[in-house]
Amino acid sequence: MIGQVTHQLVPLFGSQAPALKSGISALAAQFELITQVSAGEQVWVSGEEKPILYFNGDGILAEFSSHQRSMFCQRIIPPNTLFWSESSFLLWQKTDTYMRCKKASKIYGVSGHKVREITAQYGMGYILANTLTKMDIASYRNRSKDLCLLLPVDRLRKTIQSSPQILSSISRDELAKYLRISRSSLFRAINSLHNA
Amino acid sequence: MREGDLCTLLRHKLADRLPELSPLIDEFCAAFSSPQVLPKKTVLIRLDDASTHLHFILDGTVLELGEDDRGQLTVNQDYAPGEFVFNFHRHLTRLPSKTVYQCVTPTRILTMDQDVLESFQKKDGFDEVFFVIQQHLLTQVRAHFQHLLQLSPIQHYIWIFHHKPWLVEALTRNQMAAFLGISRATFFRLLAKHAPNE
Repeated sequence: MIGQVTHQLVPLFGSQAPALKSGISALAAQFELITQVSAGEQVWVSGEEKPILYFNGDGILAEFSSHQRSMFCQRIIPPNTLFWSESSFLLWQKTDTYMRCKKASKIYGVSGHKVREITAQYGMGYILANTLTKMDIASYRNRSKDLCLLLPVDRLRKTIQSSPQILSSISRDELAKYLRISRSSLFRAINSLHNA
Repeated sequence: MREGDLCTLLRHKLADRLPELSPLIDEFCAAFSSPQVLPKKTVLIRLDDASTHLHFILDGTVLELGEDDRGQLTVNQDYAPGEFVFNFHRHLTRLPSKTVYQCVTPTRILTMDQDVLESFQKKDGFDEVFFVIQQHLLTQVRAHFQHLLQLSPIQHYIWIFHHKPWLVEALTRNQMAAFLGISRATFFRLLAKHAPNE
């Protein structure tokens, strides 16, 4: 697991990664098993303090936001990747989403406090925090652009290309909301892709 | 929004590191230009612009406008008082801007020249101050995405009508339709059906 975490951390430090190798290794070594979740269980719910940098084992997770009693899937967390609550880990507030397990997984993590301690100790500054924030900004801008500009079938195609596991991970209703289209438009888009 | 609020905003977020970072925050805030009033339609960031000046809005509204592959207008983001305007495409991809950032009302802003910003980026501790700026950029972008995802176009329009009424006045109908992610024709149909009560 430490090797997989290191593999995920190295690109986040860009060209400075070779110089920060020992700090990255020390950070990876701090990840510990937090919980084992089964499908349907939550890693966090809205209103919690979770300033934690997580690593998802071999399962699949999905993050939902809630509005007027409806849940909207915002992103899918593929196996063997880092994830975090933006509001808690990056924005220093309470969580405002729900991270739900879709396929059983082991969840590892390191507290934000520990991340600060290690990055200070190894002179890594705020590179990690700035890179993760930058990644989130880029991801939201791309998703917003897709929601505004792409036709339903193109949104579906692009989503399947970037997250192939999505079709088998979330329900059709959740997928429709992820793509901001109606269920009937989703079924038409699926048929259209299938026929093509 | 007053000029001093930029300092307050940074200090508030970095309170646990004060007074360690306090002189740096003062120096950073003092390095912005004096407030400038830009007339409506002034372009802050042009197409193919590789600049990285950092702007902070005191009054007024700036829109990020573009065109999709079919030449249709896109409105990626709005920027209001208390928000930073930054060449996002350049910042995220290191490529020149694909969009135009334009004042849609007379706008009062503070600007930090890119060379000055670059010199700050070499200073110890500045990456923490810059992280706070990025937190604000993320909050802006995330809020817009969540509105697009969670609200129907008409709900989104009504939300704007109540929470950002200046946008309803500042944006043309074309721009508002693009901001909501719908065609102009759909926007007019929705307006006719559900015009919000004033």
